[in-house]
Amino acid sequence: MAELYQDVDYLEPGVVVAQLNFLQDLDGEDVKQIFTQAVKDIQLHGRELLHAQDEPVEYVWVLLDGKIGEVRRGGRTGPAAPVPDA
Amino acid sequence: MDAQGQPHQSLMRESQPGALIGIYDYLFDKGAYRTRARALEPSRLLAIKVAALSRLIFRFPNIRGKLAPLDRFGRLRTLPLLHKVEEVGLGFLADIVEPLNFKENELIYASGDTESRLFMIDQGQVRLDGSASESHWLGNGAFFGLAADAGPRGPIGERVMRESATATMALTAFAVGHREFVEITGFVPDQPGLAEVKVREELLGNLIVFSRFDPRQRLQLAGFVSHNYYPSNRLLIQQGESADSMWVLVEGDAIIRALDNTGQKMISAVANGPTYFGETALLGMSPQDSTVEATGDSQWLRLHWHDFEEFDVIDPDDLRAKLTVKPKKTVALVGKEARNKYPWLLPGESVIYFSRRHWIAFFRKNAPTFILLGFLIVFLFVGSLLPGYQVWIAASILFLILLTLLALVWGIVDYMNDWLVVTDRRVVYQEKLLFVYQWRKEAPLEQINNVDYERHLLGRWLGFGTLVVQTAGSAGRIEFTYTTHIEKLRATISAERTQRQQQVVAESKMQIHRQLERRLDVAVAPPSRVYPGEIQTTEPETWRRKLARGTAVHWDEDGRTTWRKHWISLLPKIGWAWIIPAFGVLLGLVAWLDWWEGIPEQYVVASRAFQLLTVLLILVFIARLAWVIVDWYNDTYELTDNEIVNLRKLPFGLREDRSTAPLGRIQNVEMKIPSPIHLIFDYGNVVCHTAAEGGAVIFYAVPNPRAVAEEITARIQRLQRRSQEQDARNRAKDLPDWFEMYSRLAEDPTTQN
Repeated sequence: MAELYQDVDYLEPGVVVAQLNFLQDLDGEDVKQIFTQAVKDIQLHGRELLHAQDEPVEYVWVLLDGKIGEVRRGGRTGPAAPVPDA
Repeated sequence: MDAQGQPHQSLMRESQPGALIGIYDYLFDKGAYRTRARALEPSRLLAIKVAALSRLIFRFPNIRGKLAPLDRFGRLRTLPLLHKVEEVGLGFLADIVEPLNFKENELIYASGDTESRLFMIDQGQVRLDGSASESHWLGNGAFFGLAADAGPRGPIGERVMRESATATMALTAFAVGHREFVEITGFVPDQPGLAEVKVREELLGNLIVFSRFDPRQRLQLAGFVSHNYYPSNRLLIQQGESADSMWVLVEGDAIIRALDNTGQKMISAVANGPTYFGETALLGMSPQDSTVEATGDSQWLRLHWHDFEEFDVIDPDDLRAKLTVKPKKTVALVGKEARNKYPWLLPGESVIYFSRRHWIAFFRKNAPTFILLGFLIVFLFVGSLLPGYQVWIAASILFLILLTLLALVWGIVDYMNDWLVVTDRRVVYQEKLLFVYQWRKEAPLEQINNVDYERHLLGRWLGFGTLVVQTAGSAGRIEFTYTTHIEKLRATISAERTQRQQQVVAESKMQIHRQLERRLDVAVAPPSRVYPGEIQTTEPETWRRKLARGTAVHWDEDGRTTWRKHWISLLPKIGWAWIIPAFGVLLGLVAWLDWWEGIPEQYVVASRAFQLLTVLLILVFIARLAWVIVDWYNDTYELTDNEIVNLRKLPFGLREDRSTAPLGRIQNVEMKIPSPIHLIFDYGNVVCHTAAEGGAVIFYAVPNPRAVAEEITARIQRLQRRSQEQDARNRAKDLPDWFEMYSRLAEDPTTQN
């Protein structure tokens, strides 16, 4: 299976650390090492798919700009039985 | 919508900049994305490989809490109405719920309001008031902001509320948009949420334990329970533990285990809901006979004794007395009756044994009565011998009758006011002489080393002796003379001590279980209590207490309670003895010299000198007064959760002495109100005896010394409980590592024979 975002370059770890809030207060050198060749800056146009349902988890994304809609089709998560009258 | 009107789609949400997309699919190891994600407009994202995130978590395990609001997620996971919402959906909810705080009596919405949010109670209580003057109370874990006509075919999002919702105590709740909730979870919560209110009320109302409550009390009780869902097995009660809650199994199973007296495991049993356990906890924390474990996917109502105590305080009835619960041991007094009789009882504390002195002590206390009676008899005899009516004899007899009666009443009250009480936490001894003094000494059960008695020949004949309760403190003896039923009293104290020790063992087991739950990542910790504050006390407000409080000599700040000495203790220090007479004489002389017309020339200088001296004296007096007041203001007694501090500071920073004593070293607490003046102004001394060579830390002349002693005792009890928990945690700390290594070795095929 082809790797996603092949035509996008990896970000420099220093840039990653600066952009991700949850990495603040961590040991900078360790974090830079962890995020070497691990993060890409990607652009989506409107209606473009980010990931499909039931696709294997390979990436987690941080939304920098724009709006992403998520939805699950089929398989209700709430109570299946009819609810009683209150 | 499907045939039942439920939405087909779920886990639907729109993410805004800053959101982490796919994080819950990753964290909860689902292997695949649960949703399809699409850009709704041109978007820019950082795509992070999960392999990098895994390395990050390995290196910084606590980073998980920054990637997602896991605390909030953990709380939502225990809400019964969300029990079928999968983890990713709970994660989406955790992202959007807004934690809100409401004050006591704050109106959240009124009847007729349009509300687009729904609320989930994290901790606290809400009262719903309907138009039919019927009220419903909700506690932890309940939903409100629900409309009976909402979905599946009714309105979603903005709905008209049929009741008003008011926070009846400090409340923390999660608010979430109704529409967003439905879109994520795929179900409309209104009708199931309202049905849940009924289920709780009916379940509690049908329990035999509360059968003597009136209908309103049963409804209100529902507001004092926490409704919890446990996704995995959870230890609720540990055998031998002094359970703090009654547990009602609503749905699912419970496993009941027990060890016999020899430590052998007895056969386990499984119970199905609805049923209940640990109801004796409502009478005061009492040891339990069995271990009760909630199975995964079960729902429970938890009624913490602390919450029940609060309910009991605000309700006019004595609710504890109305419980249909058979105590495990004979309890002398419980509930409001106990609190009214002994206002110093701590919340949840029960009186186990009460002892007054032997009747011979009554005769001793009434010695003045018998002497007066002797005189009376003599006067009556003399009067009968004298001829005719003698006025002086009649007056003397009348006077003696009056005096004898007074002495008798005094003696009876004095006898009745001396007692020894054994509670499930301490031994308390009080002596009180009406209008003269009050003295109380107490020793926590854990600090008692031994209980002995001394008995001489007469005591052996008549059945009394001196009970000696020995603690490790330098002055740690409680001696109760003329005690009756000494053997029974000794046995009671010993039994209560043993029970407290068993608590430590049970606590250890509980901690091992909790440590393992954390290690296996199945720990859930919903709030254990509904009422977040301390229990209100019902101690009567007296004019003396108001007088003491009016001087602002006691205050609480950040868990530190501070007392100053009573203002009346200033008076002797000001030095009236020499200032007032000197001041008066000088004033008199000045006045005499100035008003004396035709004062001779040679006395004018003397007059002016006296005037100057008077002014000087006034200045000295003011300086002395200021010194004494500042000195009084600077000297404080402080009580924290760990220590007591006596801070003595001279004005202008001339000197500062600070002496401290750890609370854990206090063996017993003694309260003295030594004189009628102290009684009138409600102040006295509190002596904390420690095991150290230094002896005791004494709080001199503190206002309301009973309350000071009670506060110290309460803090000692809390510290002991914390220490027990900490010790148990320390003992259990390494066990998960042992089990993990054992499990790995046991599963490793190369180690199998």
